[in-house]
Amino acid sequence: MNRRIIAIFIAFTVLTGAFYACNKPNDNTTQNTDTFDKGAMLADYADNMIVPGYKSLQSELAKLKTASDAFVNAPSDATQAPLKEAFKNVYLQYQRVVAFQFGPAETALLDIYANYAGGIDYSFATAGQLTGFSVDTATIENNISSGTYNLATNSRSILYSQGFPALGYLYFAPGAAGKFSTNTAARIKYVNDVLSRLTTLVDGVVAAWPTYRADFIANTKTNVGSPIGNIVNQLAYQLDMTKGPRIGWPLGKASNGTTFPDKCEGYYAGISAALAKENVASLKKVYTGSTAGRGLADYLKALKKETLNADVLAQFDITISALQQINDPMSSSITAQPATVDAAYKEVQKLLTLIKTDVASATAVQITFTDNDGD
Amino acid sequence: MRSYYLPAAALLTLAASVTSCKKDKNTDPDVKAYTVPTTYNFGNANYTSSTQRIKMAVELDTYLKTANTGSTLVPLDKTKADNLWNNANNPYSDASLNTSGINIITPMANASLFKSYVDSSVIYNNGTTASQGTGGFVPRGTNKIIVGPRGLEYSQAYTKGVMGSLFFKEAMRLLASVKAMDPKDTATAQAAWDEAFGYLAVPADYDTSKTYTSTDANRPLLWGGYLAERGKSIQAGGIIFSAFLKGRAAIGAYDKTVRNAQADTIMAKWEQLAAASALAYVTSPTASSAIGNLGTQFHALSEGLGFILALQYRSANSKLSAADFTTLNNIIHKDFYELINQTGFTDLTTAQNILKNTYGL
Repeated sequence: MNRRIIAIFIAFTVLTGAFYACNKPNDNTTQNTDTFDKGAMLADYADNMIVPGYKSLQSELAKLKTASDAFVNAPSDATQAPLKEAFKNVYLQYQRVVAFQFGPAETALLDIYANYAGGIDYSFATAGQLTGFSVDTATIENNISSGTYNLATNSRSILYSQGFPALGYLYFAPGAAGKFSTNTAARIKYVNDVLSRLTTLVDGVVAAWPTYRADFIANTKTNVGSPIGNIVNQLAYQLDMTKGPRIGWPLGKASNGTTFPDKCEGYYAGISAALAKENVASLKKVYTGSTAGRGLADYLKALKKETLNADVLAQFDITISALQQINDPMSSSITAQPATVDAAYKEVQKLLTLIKTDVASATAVQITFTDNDGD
Repeated sequence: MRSYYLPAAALLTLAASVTSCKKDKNTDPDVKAYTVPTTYNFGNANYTSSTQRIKMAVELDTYLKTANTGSTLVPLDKTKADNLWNNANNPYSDASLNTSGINIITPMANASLFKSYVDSSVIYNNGTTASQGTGGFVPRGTNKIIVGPRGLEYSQAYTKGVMGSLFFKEAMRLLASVKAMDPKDTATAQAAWDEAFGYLAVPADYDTSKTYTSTDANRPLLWGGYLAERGKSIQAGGIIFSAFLKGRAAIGAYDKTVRNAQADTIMAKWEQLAAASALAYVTSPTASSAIGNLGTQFHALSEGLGFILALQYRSANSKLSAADFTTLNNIIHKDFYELINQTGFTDLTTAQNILKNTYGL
């Protein structure tokens, strides 16, 4: 009896083997057989970086609202200074979560409404003035005077009339305080509408994450739309943003040297260099992860890409310190110390190449945000 | 003693199963032994006319795209476009096409529509900045696209549309016709099979693991290119190419069962590839990295229109219902300015869901 069972078992095993041997290899990407726990890495991102990051953004937005109320009700230097502090804090916090523009944030299109940069293919050279970190001041003023506007519209002019860039203009543009003396109610309403839209969007992202979390940590693939694919894409996308709209375009890199200092991110608050530095420093944190052994960096090591990982970490540090050399307001540094800005730009470029080409290739992630289908 | 029969039986079965790797087992006494090659190198294979039509369609596409270069006007000659459409007055740079005696129009469905797309590509190449209701130029990166008053990039609608209404449509028709043929009618079946294979536009030694460069004379074109561009995650390249090889081998051996199964596989997978492409192009315009970037958005939607049009030539076994096709078709024919400005992208989300749910994407 026993021998019979064994015989059946052997026959079955052999047959199964023969059957598999008949299968032709297909063009599926071969999965790595590494033992690295990608699910634990993703859980760590969700629980220790992403969700706490958006919650901090919520509380910074609440502080901004308090400072904003104080300013719009009594616009003066005395109320503007704490407002600038609160504005800078919330904008810096935004840089710490901006690379999580997938899942709930992408569903809400948070980045589009919070900090529109017009797309990396849409530079000053080809598309005129309303590109990069522009503010559509004409539309903002028009919205205030007409009182009719729908901030949920996806048109470029509306996208350029809200979020942090619009608040920066309303709070800190030359003569900003004085502008509240005419059409006061409508101007205050506009500020509050922009602020409450930001708050609602961030609240929505925070509320959606607990549900999304299960899918996020369960999907350990690296294909298009996968969490790991998204994180690598976002690292590259943010570096592309820094290479383009944040630094390169204002410096004239897409316009034969013609500079656009007023197109710096956070131009009116004069905090562009701080934002750029915080952005890249935050990307490094995303890359390394918040817990030892559970970051993208560790995943690369598990994939036997130690050298690449060391190169990436080193280039992050070089880039961050190069960005620290740029004085704020960056709009002035572009004219006063262009070499310093250019040096940082070049380091960003190197880091971008490492992430977009080498890290993407090592993790088998396809970079999908570029409009590059070749036709 | 009894228990020894089992391993023996297992070995026999194993032997049979190993053989079946090469030779498809069939109870039909007429079926001859055959092997499936790894390249499409069948002795009497001939798909020249298919290849020529692919090259003709590509030359017209390439000509229309010359206008996209840079931000300023690059004129297009209507006569030249007409000649490329008609194969008149030796229009092609590949001289063998000029003397081929064939054109792209004859087997094309709805040719007048696609001719109007070609005409419009020329008409709206007018130096005007496009806006809703006004055709003209929309910047795309350092270049531009040429769109009509509703944002449709006509050159893409032509190229992707013809991929559907000529190449996909013909392949579906030919494969369905083979299925109905007598197993002994091998010459007719092989000719039809080859013609369908030619419309896939891959080299005879197609290799899914290879990255073909744009300068490789042997590179996959049109649908062949989309096997890798949009079909990787559904293994379209490997599955369709293998099925073409296996079915072609089966025809020569009178193996109707295998032949028909391969035809079904190709038709289903090719249609899923069209759907996957359409899905990508109705999704990418809604991504935050594309919003407000009209050039990127309209280009994608225009490609999407072509792939959705292709689905009207889907096989009889298609999973896509007539009602869902109508919904998709109505959405993609809306004003693109309207589609990209909708709050929540209601229509494009509807289209995405139909494609995802129907095709398991």
